[in-house]
Amino acid sequence: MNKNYIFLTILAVVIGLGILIMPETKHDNQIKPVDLLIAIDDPSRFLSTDVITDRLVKKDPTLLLIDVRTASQFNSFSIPGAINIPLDSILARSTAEIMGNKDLDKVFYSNADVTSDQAWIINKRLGYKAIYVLQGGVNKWFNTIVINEIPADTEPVEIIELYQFRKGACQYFFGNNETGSVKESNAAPKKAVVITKKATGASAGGGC
Amino acid sequence: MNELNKTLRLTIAVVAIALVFVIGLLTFQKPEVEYKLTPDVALSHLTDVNLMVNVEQAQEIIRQNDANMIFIDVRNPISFGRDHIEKAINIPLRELLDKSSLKLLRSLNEKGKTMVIYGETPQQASGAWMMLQQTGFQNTKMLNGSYTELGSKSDKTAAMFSETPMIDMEALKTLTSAAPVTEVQNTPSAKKTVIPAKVETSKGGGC
Repeated sequence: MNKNYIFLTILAVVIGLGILIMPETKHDNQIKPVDLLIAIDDPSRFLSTDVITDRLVKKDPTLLLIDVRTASQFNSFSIPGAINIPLDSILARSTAEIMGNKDLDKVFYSNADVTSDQAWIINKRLGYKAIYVLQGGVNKWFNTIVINEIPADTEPVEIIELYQFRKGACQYFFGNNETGSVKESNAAPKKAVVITKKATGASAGGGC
Repeated sequence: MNELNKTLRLTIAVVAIALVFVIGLLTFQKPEVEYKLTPDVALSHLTDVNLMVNVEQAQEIIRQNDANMIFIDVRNPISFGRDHIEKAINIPLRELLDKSSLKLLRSLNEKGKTMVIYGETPQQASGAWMMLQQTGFQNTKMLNGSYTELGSKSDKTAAMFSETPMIDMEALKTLTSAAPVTEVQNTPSAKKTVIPAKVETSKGGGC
């Protein structure tokens, strides 16, 4: 009789505690709506095209560029070294593994920065850390790094230095025919293609 | 004596359990806002064309002056004070989930109004709109354009923010192929002429 009562009390306490803890474990990593709004309002997630280019040129192993555009847009042009995860497969299981990698700085980009920012918000809600957005997207990247207009000699030193940096980066990615570094330049885009193929294969399952 | 002990133990246990529940209920506060959509559903709404308003449609809404369409301005109060759409309501992005804002939004929602969110950039509008969608305001649309585009008819600002690719493949080709450097320097002028033609190949933000 006595034993039964003890058993019942323990059972009730366990159930009670279980009910108390349950709602928290259900949304394990999700951040609260209020916190998500604060994060959306904070512009620190935006990285400039020059910062990203600098890290690409320095072969920063912690940088992972994620192209959230469609596969066809990705195949026609993408930033060297980027992988393709279209927006609609951003929640696929294979993506979660990449997002969960704490050692990588994951930078989303699209043509402008609306789609990439939406991908960021979805992932931010799920509690992923070290995620960023490329400000201006691939359009800005292309039109500052690849297409760079020569500044006048009268421009401030900073502008001329910036131009030289961009010009150098462009030669690094796409080669400079004059200096005959064609071999090296060809290697970089090829590398990028190999990576992309792997990535598209992995993420294709979840998407359309 | 032994019997009394048993009942005493039982009552103590029951009272203890009851206390745990009562304290739990008292300390548990229902949060002001909760997610009403799972991430998957929220993601599917991003590609729903019915939830977007482009600049042309927005200008049409302003012209029609439909009482069921309410513009929500999520820019800061200074920008709002300077200039805004007539009858638009200003709820700065950072105050979107404040108590007073929620009260206002809920009352508009109950009246069956459709809210069109606009901001400085489509990206700002998108953030506020996603937040509202996910917290249960289904009757919201986002302006897929910037505020400045609404007043003017120039395409320049539109091109700045739109998700249309502005990559000049011709310039890229001349760059990667064995062309003399002098040609590369010519590309900026060539680029400008090519951009409008490029627009058509671009469309299709998702599947």
